[in-house]
Amino acid sequence: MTTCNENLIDEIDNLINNEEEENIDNDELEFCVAPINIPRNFIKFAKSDNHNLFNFHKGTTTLAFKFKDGIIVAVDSRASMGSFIASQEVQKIIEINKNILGTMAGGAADCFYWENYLGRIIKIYELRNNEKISVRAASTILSNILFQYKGYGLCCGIILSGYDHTGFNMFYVDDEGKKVEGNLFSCGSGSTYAYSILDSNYNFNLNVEEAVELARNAIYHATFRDGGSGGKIKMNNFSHFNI
Amino acid sequence: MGSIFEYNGGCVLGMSGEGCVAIACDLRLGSNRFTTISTNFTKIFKMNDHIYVGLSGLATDVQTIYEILRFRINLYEIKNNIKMDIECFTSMLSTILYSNRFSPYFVNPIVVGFKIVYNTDEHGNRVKTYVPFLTAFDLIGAKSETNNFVVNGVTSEQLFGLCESFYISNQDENGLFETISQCLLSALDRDCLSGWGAEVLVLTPDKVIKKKLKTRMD
Repeated sequence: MTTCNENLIDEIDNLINNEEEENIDNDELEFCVAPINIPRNFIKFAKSDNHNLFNFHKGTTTLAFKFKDGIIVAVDSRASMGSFIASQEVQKIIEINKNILGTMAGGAADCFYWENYLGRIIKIYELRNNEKISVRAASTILSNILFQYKGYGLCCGIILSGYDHTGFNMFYVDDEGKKVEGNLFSCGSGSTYAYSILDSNYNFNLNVEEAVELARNAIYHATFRDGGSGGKIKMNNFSHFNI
Repeated sequence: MGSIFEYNGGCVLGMSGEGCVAIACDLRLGSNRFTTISTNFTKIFKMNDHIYVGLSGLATDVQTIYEILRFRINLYEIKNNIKMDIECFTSMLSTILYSNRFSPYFVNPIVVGFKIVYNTDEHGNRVKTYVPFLTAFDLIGAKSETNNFVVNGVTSEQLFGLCESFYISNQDENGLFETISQCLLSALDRDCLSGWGAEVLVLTPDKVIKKKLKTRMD
């Protein structure tokens, strides 16, 4: 029974790989994978208890919420390598385009690369269709890309927020391929602490000063309790007045 | 799942100067590596006037070893009617740790204090001299005595680098306090599992000065 399943997965994997080979554009990056039949198994093996590689810990706190005057995005600025603090001055908010922001939680390289890749795809979309992309479409593109690499050991928790023709929108996209729309998200190891502050004081009818203070307070308490978050608190604020 | 020493975090550091020694620790108690559950967990314990122990590592073993040492030193002082000597104390600690060689206490102790040396002066009177004494241990009791600085804990690599750069021998109390505080503060800024407050004790033969440092609480 096991060998039968393995052969099937084998065939499917070969099929996928073959398809990828046919569709290679010159400007698409080719990723090298482990030179075995089923590359995902290599990652699963490396992640196992004995080896403990690829187990990235989302050591960060990021949050975003919608309120009546727009969206607040707030992040900390610490990058940790295990228990060592690699940097206290990391930019975790990435401008994907003029209207869409993405936050970085999880593996810094993964988030940074794929969010900038999304920016490229979006630019091509906007040139081809002569219209600004909606946040919903951008998040769908990103979640489909991340789902393709499911099981390969990516680690990202990305909150995409922005303004489009339907108004303010916010989506949470995950390395597992999850995509959720909502009004309030927090991601990272400090997210539980940030959620507790946000959930006690959040309501939709905050004004800008109150919303900024709430976001700052939430990140501050998360950096106090969580060892993986710290440094500075950085915030971006989308509101009707700034568009 | 990381190392067992990273479960609670924490670090200790000791330095010697001219006729004085200092011992410092952070005040964090963590749980399950990244969650901070207390910012008031000191890792420095007084054994007697001239022996201070710094214990970093798993918090439950820190508390247990402290109680064991307190019992043993009190019993010794009652039975022998003499204050325990620091060299005797370090040997005792080494034996206690080695007796659990195959199921070790997950602590990395340091011992900081004064060795009392008795001399006779020209009139035949006995004179006590206090010599600074620093020792570091590993979890199964290997002693290493030095005359400059000792570090232990999850932040030990950062502390080693800073102490090597900033240590100046034969400083007075104030200079020693400044040096040890700066080393500790800079190291805590580079570690996720230590920090959230720090405490420094400067010991001289006749007094002890305890200061709390204001640190980043992240």
